[in-house]
Amino acid sequence: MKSWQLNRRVNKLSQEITDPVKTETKIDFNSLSEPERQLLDRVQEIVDKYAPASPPQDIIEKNADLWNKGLEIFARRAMELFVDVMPASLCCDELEAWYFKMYFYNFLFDWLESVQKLREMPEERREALFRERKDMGLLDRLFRLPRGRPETNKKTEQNEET
Amino acid sequence: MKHTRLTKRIEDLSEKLKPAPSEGIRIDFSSFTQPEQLVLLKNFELDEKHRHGWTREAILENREIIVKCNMIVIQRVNELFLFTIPRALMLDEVNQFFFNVNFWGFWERWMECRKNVGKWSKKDRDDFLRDIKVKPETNTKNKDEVRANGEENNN
Repeated sequence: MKSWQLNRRVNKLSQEITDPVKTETKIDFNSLSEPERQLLDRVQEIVDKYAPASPPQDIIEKNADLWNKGLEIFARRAMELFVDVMPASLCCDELEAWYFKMYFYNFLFDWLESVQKLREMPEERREALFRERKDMGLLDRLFRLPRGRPETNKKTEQNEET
Repeated sequence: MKHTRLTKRIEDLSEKLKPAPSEGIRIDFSSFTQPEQLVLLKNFELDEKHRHGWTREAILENREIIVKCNMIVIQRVNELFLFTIPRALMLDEVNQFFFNVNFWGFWERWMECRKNVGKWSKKDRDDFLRDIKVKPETNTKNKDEVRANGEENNN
């Protein structure tokens, strides 16, 4: 093999390694319960009727109950999968699994609290916050949230210092 | 419709609206890539072979395939969660930003906690496990804030 051919082959392989074929992760439809499948089938019928476009807003509003229940099923099942599978896949023992669940549900509560605060914000302030985050490029980046330390720790440290 | 029939109908409908249990939720096997499917199939095969109980030797001998399989599952379940929840809850960009911040914060905090828990003695672990199984009203030990992140345990 010539040098340029070898280089091309190496580059192609490197590309394949760094950029593997991405496939979408889907929930196994058969693992849903019968009533859930029936509901999702009805939603799918509506989606198919207007495909490839999305169903019009008035149709979604007309079937809002069906739509919301479908979304609830997906959210609940994805959460169930996450909470059940993660501790086992991370080889957690009983205690670690207990902490996992505690931290997970705390994350949900923390996030719901921030949603509540965002909803209470006046529209202009919310817009300003969004623009600021966007201008700073923070929408695509993450950072560590400051965390309060337990009072008991602080007290112990103060006692040790004195 | 008579009152009793109406009540019966409401009860029936309420029953139907309850979250129906299934045998457990699974990821669609076809959503894994071919190399991932091969790893998973190999793992199923090993699981079948050792269905009466994994020995330490068997785990060590097959550790690479077990770790790889777990990595695939962790990555996929995480991906599914991050894809599904913001869409199901119809989050806008700001809400999604806070969702991501809180979610990755949860992972970081839990990993830190796991590291701390790993330092506990077996006795401390057993005592703590016994405590968390006690009904909340009779359990006063779990009110200890320090243990919330597994940082200390001075049993």
